[in-house]
Amino acid sequence: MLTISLSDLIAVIIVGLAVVIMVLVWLTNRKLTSEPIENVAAYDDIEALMHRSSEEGNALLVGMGEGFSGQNSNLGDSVGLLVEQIVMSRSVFNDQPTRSFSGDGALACISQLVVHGAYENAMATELFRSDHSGLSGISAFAWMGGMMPELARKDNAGLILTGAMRPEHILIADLAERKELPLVAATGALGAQAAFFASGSLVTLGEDYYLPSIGKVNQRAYQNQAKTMNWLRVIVAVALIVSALLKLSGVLP
Amino acid sequence: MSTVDLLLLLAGLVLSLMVFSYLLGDTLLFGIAMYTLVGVSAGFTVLVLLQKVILPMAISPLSAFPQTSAFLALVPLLLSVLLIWMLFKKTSRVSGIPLGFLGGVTAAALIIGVTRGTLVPQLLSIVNAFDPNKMTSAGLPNWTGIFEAFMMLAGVVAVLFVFHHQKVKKQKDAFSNSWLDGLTGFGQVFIGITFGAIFVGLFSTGLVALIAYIQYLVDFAGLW
Amino acid sequence: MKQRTPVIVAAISGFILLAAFLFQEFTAPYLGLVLNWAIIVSSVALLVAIASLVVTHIRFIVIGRKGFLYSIVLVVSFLATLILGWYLGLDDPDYLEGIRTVLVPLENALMGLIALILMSGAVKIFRVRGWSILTVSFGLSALLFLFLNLGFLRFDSIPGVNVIVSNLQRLPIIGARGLLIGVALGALLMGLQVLFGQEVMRE
Repeated sequence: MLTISLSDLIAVIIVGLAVVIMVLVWLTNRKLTSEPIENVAAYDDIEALMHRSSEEGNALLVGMGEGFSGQNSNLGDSVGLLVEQIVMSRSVFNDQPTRSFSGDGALACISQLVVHGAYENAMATELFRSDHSGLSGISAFAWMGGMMPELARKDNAGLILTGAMRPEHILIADLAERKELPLVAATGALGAQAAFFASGSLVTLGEDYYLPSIGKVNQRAYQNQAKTMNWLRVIVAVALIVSALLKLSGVLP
Repeated sequence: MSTVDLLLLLAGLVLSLMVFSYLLGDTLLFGIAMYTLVGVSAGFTVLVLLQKVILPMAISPLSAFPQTSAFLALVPLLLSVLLIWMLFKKTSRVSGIPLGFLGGVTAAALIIGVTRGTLVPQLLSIVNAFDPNKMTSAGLPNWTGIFEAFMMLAGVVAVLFVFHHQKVKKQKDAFSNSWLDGLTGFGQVFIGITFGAIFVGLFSTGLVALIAYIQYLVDFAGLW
Repeated sequence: MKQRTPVIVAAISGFILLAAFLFQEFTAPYLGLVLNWAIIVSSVALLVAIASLVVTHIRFIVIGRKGFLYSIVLVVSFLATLILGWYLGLDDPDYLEGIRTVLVPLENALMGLIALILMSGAVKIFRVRGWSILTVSFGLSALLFLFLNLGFLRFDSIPGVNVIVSNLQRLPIIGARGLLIGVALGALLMGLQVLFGQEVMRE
């Protein structure tokens, strides 16, 4: 006989609900509407960075964060890889190649595949070099330490930080500011969001991090995910209010 | 204190002073300190992984041939070989298999982690604050408890709606979403308060580390 | 990345693990086994990435890339740590003390440096981000919690003020809960997208 605790039951309901809404939104939004949901501002600014990079002929740097193979305490995720994929696919033929720096082994290996995939899709594999993407250090400080001297070089156009970050990484934002380089910080870690908010960099706040859409790239997925989030938010809010009232009236144990 | 200890202490001191050279705008000394950190931590990690993970978990079980455990140990070994192949052929497609396996495991762990570890406890704690027993004390209304529970519910709902995504056209219509704007403003107050508190927590941690570092300098000076 | 194999492998392994987590009563031994495999594979991935890092920096030294001094520092410190550790043994107290003596002051110095950077960041937030509900509440909250955290004033003896202060200290929990719930929902959707293979099928 399978026994399930209340917490596990609620968890299963939430996952089931998310899957159902995802599928429903996907089915009802097969075509892009004329009134799309507006992009997240911080992600939209990545497009400006890409333009700047190709116009100035300088390199764009992508900091991928600590990674997701269990070495960090933040929520592991693959948003950073998606951002990297979009940026790489648009900057293959730039004068200076876009370079990415990972803080974890699995992330560095997947990132290597993503970067190579971008060159392959552009039919320019001869331009691919393995040092375009790789590990810059293990642990939060070492990753930052390995990336900062690269950031201090003269031929950079800007920096995108995306992935699992820590508040300590604000030092990167400070160096970018000293070098007058624009920085976009996209992270789901609240501590890092608070620290980057205090810096001058563009930062994703709260759940916005999970909705990457740069310009017109990734629009359909973004629109679907934003709508799914909207529905989930409404359901969670209503469920909270109803449950609170039921608890108050003694109906819920 | 032996000469080796003294040299190590001196190395630590010099490296940490190199870190502070950043404040003077120097990147050379700072970079040397940072790359030392990268090199030392990488070297140490290689040793730890080989001796504490790879040898005992991946290689040792193979000695149990022909038992089932030895056959099962072949699976991660095979996946590892596919991954190591990446070192010799950067464009290797087969390396995607172990990485896909890792991605899937991570995604599943993430789904379970965020629902069971974050969502459910957070939601339950908000609802449980409305327990009638917590809202009364000695037969009288517990106004602090009541206020806290309602404030928590209203605040959390408002914060959730700060990130409600709106259509481009509707955003330009100033009057269409006035209730949502009000809710959003209310939620932003709580986000600002939370970020401010987190910021101060981080600042305090940094300050404690700075004081510990100054103490380290004083201790070092005390050796002479 | 239009490779289909990793996507299929990710989906299959993810769904199996999800099911195994759900029916843990029956699958606990297999779950442990698969998680052990994941630990081994991620460790090998880290070794591969480190090897790649060292090889890249050796190449930088050989070709004399601008700033190759950093590469020399990295390779020398890596090899010294590795060879010494191999020779002395990972559990050797002198070796561990040596590593600690180098790493701890470095990390403490970095944290101290970050405290100084944060101080300057907090001062210029209004200049950079302007005046808004978010920045004003951020600034007021930072000031209040800095004042409370310093602990110069004790409110224990004044019951009314004590209650207000303890309520104020609980205020950040409200925002944190709302943000955490939103972030968790976003992460959940991202995880589901990986399992459903949508991650690589985007335009």
